[in-house]
Amino acid sequence: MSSTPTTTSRPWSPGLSWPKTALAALPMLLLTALMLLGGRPLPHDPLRLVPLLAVFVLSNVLFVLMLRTGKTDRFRAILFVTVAVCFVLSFIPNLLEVRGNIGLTGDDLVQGKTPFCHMVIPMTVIPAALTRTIIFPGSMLTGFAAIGSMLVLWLAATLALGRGFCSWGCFFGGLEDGLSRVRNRPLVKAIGKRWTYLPYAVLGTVVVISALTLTPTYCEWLCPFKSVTEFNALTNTRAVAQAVIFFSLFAGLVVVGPVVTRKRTQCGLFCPMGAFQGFTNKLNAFEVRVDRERCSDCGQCEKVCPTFSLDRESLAKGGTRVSCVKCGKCVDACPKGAAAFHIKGTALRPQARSARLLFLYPAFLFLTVFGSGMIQDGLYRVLLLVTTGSMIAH
Amino acid sequence: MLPIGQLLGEGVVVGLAGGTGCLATCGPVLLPYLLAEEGRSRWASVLALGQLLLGRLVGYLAIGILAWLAGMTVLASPRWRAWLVGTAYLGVAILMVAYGFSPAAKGCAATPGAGILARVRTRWPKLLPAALGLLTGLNLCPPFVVAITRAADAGGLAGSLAFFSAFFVGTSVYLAPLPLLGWLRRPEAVRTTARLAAGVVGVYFAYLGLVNLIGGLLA
Amino acid sequence: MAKLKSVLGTMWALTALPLLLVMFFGFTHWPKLLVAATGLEVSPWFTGGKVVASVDREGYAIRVHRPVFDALVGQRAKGFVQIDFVPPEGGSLPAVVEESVDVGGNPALAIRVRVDTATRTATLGASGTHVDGVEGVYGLARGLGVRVALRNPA
Repeated sequence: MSSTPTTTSRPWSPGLSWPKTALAALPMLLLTALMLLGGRPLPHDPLRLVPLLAVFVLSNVLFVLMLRTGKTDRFRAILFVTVAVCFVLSFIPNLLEVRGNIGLTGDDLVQGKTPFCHMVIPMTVIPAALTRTIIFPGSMLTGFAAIGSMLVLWLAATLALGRGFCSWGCFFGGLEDGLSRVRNRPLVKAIGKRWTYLPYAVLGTVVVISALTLTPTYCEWLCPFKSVTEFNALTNTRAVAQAVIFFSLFAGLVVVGPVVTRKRTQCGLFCPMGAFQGFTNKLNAFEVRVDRERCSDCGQCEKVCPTFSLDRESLAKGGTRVSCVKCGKCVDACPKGAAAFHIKGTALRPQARSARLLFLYPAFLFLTVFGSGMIQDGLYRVLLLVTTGSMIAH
Repeated sequence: MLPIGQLLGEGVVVGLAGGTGCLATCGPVLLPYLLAEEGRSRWASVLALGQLLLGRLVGYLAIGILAWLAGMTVLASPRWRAWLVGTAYLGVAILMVAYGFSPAAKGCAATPGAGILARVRTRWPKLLPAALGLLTGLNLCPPFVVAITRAADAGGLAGSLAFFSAFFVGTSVYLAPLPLLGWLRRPEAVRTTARLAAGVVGVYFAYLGLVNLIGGLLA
Repeated sequence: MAKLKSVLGTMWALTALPLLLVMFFGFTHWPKLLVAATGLEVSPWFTGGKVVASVDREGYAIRVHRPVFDALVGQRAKGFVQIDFVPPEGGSLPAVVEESVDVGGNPALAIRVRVDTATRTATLGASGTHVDGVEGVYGLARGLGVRVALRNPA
């Protein structure tokens, strides 16, 4: 497949006129105002007020630009990366406030003080089904990131977006997404297709071993994001070995990999949660399709796809692989307007805007509301650091 | 010798409890072979399943005899037990990692005698599932090692064989559906994934091997 | 059929936004409902399992959890039992506590434990045949939890 577009004509854009943009953005403006305030009055503390207003303004400006320009990924990525960076800025100070330490101690494990994240979910399924227990040292309903709350969030997002969760919700994915945009050209261009099956292999293995050992194997040994959240206190050789693995995987898959390949290498080549989430794409109404009649086989979509979800085989069938994260990058990049968001079961009309809009509302709302707490707290910590010299509120 | 009834019960329970481990170990090894026969009829799949289970039973009983012999000799010492188990794990780990991650590997290195399998496939293709069952039945995986050490403590040949027969029944619950996966729509994807999973499991075995070797040193 | 598929697909797509709105607006309610409906709880390997016996002593109380041998199917050969030493409200534990603990009435699991609360260390005295040693001493929201490793007598 050639990487050079076969045409230089101006591509069709799903962008709206200004009046239509204003009309279409209004519901999001109202919903975000309602959700971000949640019926509460505006905070008096300027360190809390400024981040709140910043999230509100930033998200709505981005949504307006998304509607007006017809570009999805370009503006999604700004918010998505912001959420991920702010998550890291918020998480660690939060732990220090709530728990008093970053390193997980035996006391924290026994007391169920470990925050639950979506990465654990695939490992919990079999034990939950057979023993009605969750194999994670957290709390079902109380405390920071309780298991019940995270399960509800994930369940709703999955039903609404499928694996779109990985591009519109996952607060880890934004780190790679951002780093994959650092270079203009990739240093490594070809990665063997067989490695794109590795996430499924990791998924199968950690699910089975977790069921066998009744411990969340991936969290204990393989999660790169432990490097920027929390890991066992380094009080024994085992914990040190785990930390070495976490940092190595983070450096390789979240930092170096995305920079040199311009791909989300952890998401596309390793993440078991992503593999698991891919199966939920089958149950979801939204997908990305490629109109074969318009497609010029330029290969641009395949080149830009961050999760290796487009290849010749899938393009020949007019769609993506099951691993598609619905980020919209291929839709933005397609010079012929052949790639488009699509609703399953409906006729393929790439230049109809309705499917894109029907997807954008829930996806963008989820990203804004789910991510708003992280952005606000991250910005608050930065302001706190600037004004008091510490990111911890005393 | 422990009562046969108790050994049978324990064998089934250990098999059921550890069967997911068998699935993790043998699944990635068995699947690529079983899925290689595309277009196999349902009846042929069931026949392959029968052969596979029979092969495994024979392999298990052979291990049962070895476990009885080992129980009287090397496995009697906790230090030797840890070292033997650790070395065995590391050996299996190396084979599985090589098999799983090497694009050049053609055969199944995670089972002893990949060459034998190739010959069986050429000369007696219909016996391939039985040969696979036998060879994976001789494979070392965590539940299998637990079973060996338990059978070694059973106190007699009959007890050891009884335990392994029951262990076979328990683990079969997990392995039995594998040949039926031949009906999947995308066998190539499953084959590739299964093979990579063998490599990932190999890494896990390397960890278990190191833990056992260090445990043996400290014993 | 194509028309029906199209209608169903569009309807499914249309539910995405309301679904998320309902989730967000009822966010304090849904997790409780989910947990109540499924009966899910945190694994006893982390929580220590349910408290099955409670004894009040002068200056502190002991809570004995059920022994944990839980496996995915059946039981494991090795497990533990957690014994909590709880000070009175606002008070603290004595410097040393020594207790004989009956675990499920099984003499093989009888435990004699001595806890130095200042150093957070515990040692076992003469205990049952299936008691393997102290697995760890953990700080609780109130008091200390001692986990004692056991071999399954079943």
